[in-house]
Amino acid sequence: MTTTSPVSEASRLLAEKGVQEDFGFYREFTSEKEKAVLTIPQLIKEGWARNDGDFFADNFVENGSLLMQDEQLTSREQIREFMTAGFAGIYKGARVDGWPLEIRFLADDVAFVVTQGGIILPGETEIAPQREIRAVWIIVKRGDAWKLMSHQSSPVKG
Amino acid sequence: MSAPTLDDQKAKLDAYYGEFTSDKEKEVLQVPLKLVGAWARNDADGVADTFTEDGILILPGDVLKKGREEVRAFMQAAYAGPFKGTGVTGQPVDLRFVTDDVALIRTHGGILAPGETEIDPELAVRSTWVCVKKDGQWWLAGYQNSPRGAGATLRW
Repeated sequence: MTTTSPVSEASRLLAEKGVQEDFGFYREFTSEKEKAVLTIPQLIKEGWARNDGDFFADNFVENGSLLMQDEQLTSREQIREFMTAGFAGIYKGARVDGWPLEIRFLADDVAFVVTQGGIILPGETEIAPQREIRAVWIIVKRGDAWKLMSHQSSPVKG
Repeated sequence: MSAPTLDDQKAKLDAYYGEFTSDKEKEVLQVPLKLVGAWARNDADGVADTFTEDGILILPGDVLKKGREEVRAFMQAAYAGPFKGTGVTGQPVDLRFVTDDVALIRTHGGILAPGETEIDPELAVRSTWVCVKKDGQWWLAGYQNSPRGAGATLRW
C-alpha cells in the first residue's frame, strides 16, 4: 500500500466489480469510510439493474440475512438461489432506487446504515408509493471489502 | 388465580429464551425483554431508555425516529392514543453476534390489542433489533419491524 493513493477505497471497490461510481449517491456521507460502506448499497443496486442473482448475493457474508416480503433468507446461498429465481420470475426487469439517510459505526468494522428507496417495476419510472421502503443494513468489513450481513425493509406506507 | 411463583417465572423466561441459552445470549435478550416490560406498563420513558442516546426506531406508517428523545415523544403520544392499553409480544428466532459488543436479534411478534394474549394476524410483524454493549450494558441502537404474513407486500 502506498502512502499517496489517488484512488479512494470506494472507487477501488467499485472498479473491482466493474461498477461505475455514482458520486451523487453518498449525499452528506462523504468520509472515505462512509463512502466505502456505501459501496454495498451501490453494488446491490447494480445487482438489481443487471438482474443478476450471483452479483447480488456475492455482496453478502456467508451467513447473510435478507428479508424479501415474507421470505426470511439466512445464508448467501439461499439468497443466491432466491434472487436468481426471482430475477427470472417476479423481479424480471425490476430495478431498485435508494439513498442513504443515516450511517452509524457501531464498531470500527461494523456499520449500521438506514436507506430509503424501493423496487421499480418494468414500465415504471419511479418508486410507487406502496413500494416505498426504509431499510436497515448491517454492513461489516471482511478483509479489504465491506459485506452485507443483514438487510430488512419496512414499508413507509401502511 | 394465585400469584405466579418464581418457578413459573423461570419457566416462562426459559420458554422465551428458547434455543438461545448461553449467558451471553440471555444478556442480549434483556433488551427486548426490557422493551416488552415497559410496553406492558405503557411506559414511554421505559421504552425510550432501552435505546442508545442516538438510537433509531423505524416502523411502517412513516415512522422514523432518531434519538432517544424522539422515541420518547413518539411513544408518549402513541400510549395516549393508538397504542393505549396495548401490549407487545415477540419470540426470538435468530440471534447473532457481529462482534462481542454488537448483536442482531430477529423476533416474530406483534402488538397485542388491549386485553388480548394472541396477536391479530394483521398485526403480526418481523423485527430486527440492533443491539450494542456500552458500559457493561446492552442497548438498542436500532429497532425496525415490518408486516409478517399476508400483509407483507412486494418490496425488498
